[in-house]
Amino acid sequence: MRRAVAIAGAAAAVAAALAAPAHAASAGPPTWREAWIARVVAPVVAHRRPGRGRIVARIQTQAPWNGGPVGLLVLAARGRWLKVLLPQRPNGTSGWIARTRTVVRATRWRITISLAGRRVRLLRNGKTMASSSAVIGKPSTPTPRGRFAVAERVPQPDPHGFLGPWALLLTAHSDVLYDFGGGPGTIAIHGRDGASLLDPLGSAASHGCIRVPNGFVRLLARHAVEGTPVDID
Amino acid sequence: LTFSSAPGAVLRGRTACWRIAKLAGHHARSFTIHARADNVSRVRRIRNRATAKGSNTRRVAARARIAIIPAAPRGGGVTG
Repeated sequence: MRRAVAIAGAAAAVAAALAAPAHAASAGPPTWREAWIARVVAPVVAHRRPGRGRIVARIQTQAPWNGGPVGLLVLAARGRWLKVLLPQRPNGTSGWIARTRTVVRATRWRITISLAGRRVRLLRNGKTMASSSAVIGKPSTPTPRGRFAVAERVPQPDPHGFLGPWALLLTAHSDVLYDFGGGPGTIAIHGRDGASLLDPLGSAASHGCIRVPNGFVRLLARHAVEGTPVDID
Repeated sequence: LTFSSAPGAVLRGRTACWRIAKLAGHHARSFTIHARADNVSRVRRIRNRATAKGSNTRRVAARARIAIIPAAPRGGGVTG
């Protein structure tokens, strides 16, 4: 006699919220229209190479700052291994993780930030759905350039505080600030309120973060889930 | 929910699966999952599901609903 017992460890509601199973097998590098997000559902180790090599990171299932979900941008896929962008220094660090410890879904959302234009765009299917002028880092504390991703969406305890109602923490870190505001120099897209309203939109006045109007950051928080690509140039 | 631990299980995405060779009649086996709830910005109601099946018995399933309550968010921590 052979008997099997299977226990589904998470709710249908959560699975449904994350699922894009029809596409999951074809996960690969981000394109202009589509990207893949690996939602980490069990602790996993990231290696330098698929299944071997130096350990780059030990990834837990809850994001370190606020305990939200961990969604990682997929950069490549090989068999049962996924190369993902990691939210750590140096910027752009990636590692290979086991696909079985993740749920992979597609996203058609993307954020682009033009430092020259001081403008943030929210795109879907490669088309701009909304855009806003922004405050970027000042010359002494510049906003880093590169490909990043949303690491955590954090509703702020005081929506009328300096960061406004939401902060979208990115995988990016400041190249000059290693400890700031109680954190490790994490770059974020956040709202504006209180003293941050003194710096007008379109200026280069922040410590590296990207400040946008509160209505716009709410829009970003609604659509740009953890793992959504963010391109800064 | 995410897995914190599921000793002896094979994990595949959101499913943990145990396979046992045999089980005597009127006997039971227990399996343990430790799960963690993500922090959420508003109450989420979700439903867990467990299924048992064997080659010589009918499939049985059970479900349970739980609500995930938001914890106080932690502000700051960014370069501003």
